[in-house]
This record gives sequence, C-alpha cells and structure tokens, in this order.
Amino acid sequence: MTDPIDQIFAAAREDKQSRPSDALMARVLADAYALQPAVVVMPPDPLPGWRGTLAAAIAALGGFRVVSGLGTVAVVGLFIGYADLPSADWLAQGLSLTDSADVDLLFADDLFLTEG
Amino acid sequence: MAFDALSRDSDDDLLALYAAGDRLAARVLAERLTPRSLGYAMRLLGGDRAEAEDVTQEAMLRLWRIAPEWRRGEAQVSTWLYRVVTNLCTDRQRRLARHARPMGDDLPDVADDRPDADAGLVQADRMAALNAALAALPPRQREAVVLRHIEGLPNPEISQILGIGVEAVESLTARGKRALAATLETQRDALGYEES
Repeated sequence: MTDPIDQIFAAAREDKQSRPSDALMARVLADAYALQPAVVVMPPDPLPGWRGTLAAAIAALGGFRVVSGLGTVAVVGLFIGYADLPSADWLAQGLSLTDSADVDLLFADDLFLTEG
Repeated sequence: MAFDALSRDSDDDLLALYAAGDRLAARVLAERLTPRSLGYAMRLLGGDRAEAEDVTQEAMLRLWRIAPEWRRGEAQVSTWLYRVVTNLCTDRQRRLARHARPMGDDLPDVADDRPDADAGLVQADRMAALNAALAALPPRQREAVVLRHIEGLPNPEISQILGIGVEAVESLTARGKRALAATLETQRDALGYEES
C-alpha cells in the first residue's frame, strides 16, 4: 500500500483535466505556423576545381552568349589571317574614285568676271 | 517524413527541423510539449485552467520565436520551457495577488457522505484538494514539489529550471511534501485514500 500523498501524486499524473483542449492545440499550432521561418532553399554547391574557375570567368565576361560571340569573332579573324586571300581590293571597289569626272565649278567665260 | 517517424526525434532535432520550415515538426513538438506545459502551469496556478492555457500558449510562442537561434547542447528544450512556464506563472501570481485574495486561503469542501459518488467526482475532488494544498505552499516549495513528484523530473534538472543547487531542491521537495501531506491528512477520509 502506498503513502496517501503518493497516491494523490499518481492521480495527478493521470489527471485528464490538465490535458490540452483541441482549441488550445489549434492556437498553439497557429502561432507555430505564423512564426515559422520560410523553408530554407540551399544554393547549389559551386563546381569544384577548373570547372568552377571556368564558370566564374564566363560569368564575369557576361555569360555564355557573350563568350560564344567573342569566340566566333576570334575564329573568323584567324581564318582571314591564315587563309592567304588574293586581295581585299574587291572589298573597296564600290568606293573607288578612279573613274571620276572633272567638274568646273567656275566658268571661264563667266560674264560677271570679265571686264568689258 | 511521417508523423510517427518524427515522433522519435529529440526535442532538439525537432526544433531545428521547425526552424528549417518543417510544419510536421511543429505539430510533433506542440503535441509533445503543450500537455507538459499546461499540466505544470495548472498545478502552479491553483488549477486555474484559463490562466494556465494563457501561460502555455505564451510559453510555446516564445519557443517558436527562439527556434532559429536555438543552440543545441546548451540546454534541454523541455528544461528551458519549464523555466519559462515557471517565470510566467510567478508573474501571473504576483499580478493576481494585487487584485484578489491570496491563493490557498481555504481548502475546498469535500463531501464526506457519498456512498454512490462515482470515480470521476472523487478524482475531481482529489485534484481540487491537491491544487488548493499546493497553492498554500510557498512558491519555491510548490514548484519543486510539482516538478519532482508530478512531472517526475530528476533533481539536477529541477535545479536548472529553478536556478538553485541540487541540495536546495532536495530540501524544498522534502519540506513541501511534508507540508502537503499534513494539509491533505485532514481530508483523508473524504478524499477516499487507502490506508497505508
């Protein structure tokens, strides 16, 4: 037989009156959700080694589109340099002035310039 | 992750999951810690359920707020929560004492002549008598007795909650239990105790 005071302690441990109501649980959970930080989305790990360095350099130059444009220009430049094209004069043909005509802006027999 | 799987995690782990945005962790923690907080608060507040519910909600609110800064290993979550509940109850008792008569001035009348009283009423009478007798104890004794004998905590944890030494806890619980027994002894027959 246990001590009466221990009996009442045991009864207190089983006391249903001190269990939370559904309303209290709802309030506690509402607080929890209202104060809960947003889900943390971790950024992807940076690429290791030379791949990481290359990705950083490409990003610094403006991204893949810019870098691919620069690459194309470089390849064309190399092609022109090594291709030993016969002449590039044809490029300027449309601008040539060799077939020019003389234009006399001052007429020699201008009436107003002759003394009479 | 399923509720059952999370229910095996420690309070520390659940609090970290809550801080990372896990809603299920919030539910498991609430279902684990709210009953403890409410039961403890009710014993400290003389069985006043409305006040105890307010204290519990406030204590849990503080837990949710501190979750992102919680440092693992420095204290147990439940120890921290018991301390918060203790402090909130102390504040409430001081406030109530300014506006009402002191708690524990009178013990509830317990009907002596109840041959057909059902077990529920006996239990309710016992709890009312216990709450009144607890309320008559000095606050520190009341807190120590409830934590030791109703919440079932070990003395070292009680010493952390109350911020006192383990020997002081032992002294408080011994004196508190003796005083409680003496108070309840006068109602032994009415409360239906079995003879020891």
